[in-house]
Amino acid sequence: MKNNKHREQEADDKLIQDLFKEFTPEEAPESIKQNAMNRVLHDWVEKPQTYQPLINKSNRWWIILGLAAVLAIAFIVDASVLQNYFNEFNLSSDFIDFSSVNASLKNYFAFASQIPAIVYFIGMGILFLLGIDKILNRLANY
Amino acid sequence: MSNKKDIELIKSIRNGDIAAFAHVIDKYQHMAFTLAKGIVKNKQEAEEVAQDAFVKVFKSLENYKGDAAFSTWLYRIVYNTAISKLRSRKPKTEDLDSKEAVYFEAHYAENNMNRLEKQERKKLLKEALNNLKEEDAFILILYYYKEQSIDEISKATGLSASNVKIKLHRGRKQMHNELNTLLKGELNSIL
Repeated sequence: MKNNKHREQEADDKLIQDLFKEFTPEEAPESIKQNAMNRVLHDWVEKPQTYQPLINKSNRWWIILGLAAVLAIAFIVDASVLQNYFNEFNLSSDFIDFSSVNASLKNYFAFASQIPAIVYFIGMGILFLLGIDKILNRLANY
Repeated sequence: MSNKKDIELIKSIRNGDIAAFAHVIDKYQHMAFTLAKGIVKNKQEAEEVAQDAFVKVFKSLENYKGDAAFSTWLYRIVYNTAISKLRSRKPKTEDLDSKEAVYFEAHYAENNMNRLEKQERKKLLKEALNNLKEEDAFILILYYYKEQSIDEISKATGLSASNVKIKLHRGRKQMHNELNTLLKGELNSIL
């Protein structure tokens, strides 16, 4: 009895399997693609653009502060002052060649002073415009 | 086209190449439409289901993790969309379970099937699928045509593997009965 049932099941399976050999999915109407793409494009256009920041937001301020501090120190401190401190505390300053640091800083600022002021103005202008553009972009997508 | 190519297409779409989605539609629209029609049993609604399913696929493309084949993931969206459509108009549908049981001779279908021409067999199968219970048609197509495993069908429908097996068994039986009914009708019309 159980065997008969099993055999019947197998026959059904075989019959359906054979039938499906000639099966082809129905031709989908053209409108499916057209309408779906229209909706997809509409959705894509509506979606606000998101920008992936190049530098992590929290790190950004540390980097800016670090650069500002380096620039401030470079402008304010003369390396010979540090050498005097070392001498006052009878510390050996052999491991740092302050004279060469001084010289290289002097060279750097001498080079920077040769660049026409217009270059600095243009650079600052570009940075200012980029900043404004970013702020306006964010406001537009808010 | 393999799942690898599907993944490449998905990557392109995620990178902003919306035109790549047209290739996804080209590849799956016929199957999605057929599966949807297997459930809703209506061309107009099947069209709407396929359309909605593709839009859902696009919107939730970020959620596709690649655990299952892309086709399986897509079929699941088609399945869920079709079932939702069905539920929204449930009171109008005919309950196939309440149909009177009919006695059929054993192997009646097999004997007569061989006499039919290829086109007739195709037509017969489509009619039989149309008369099957919603989920059963969907499962039979995936099992016999797409040759998906029980596990894959389970992923595509969200049903448990044992539930899929039960529905497959029931679908097979119902299919056999439907074929017998259709063949008898055909034979009567000839006589």
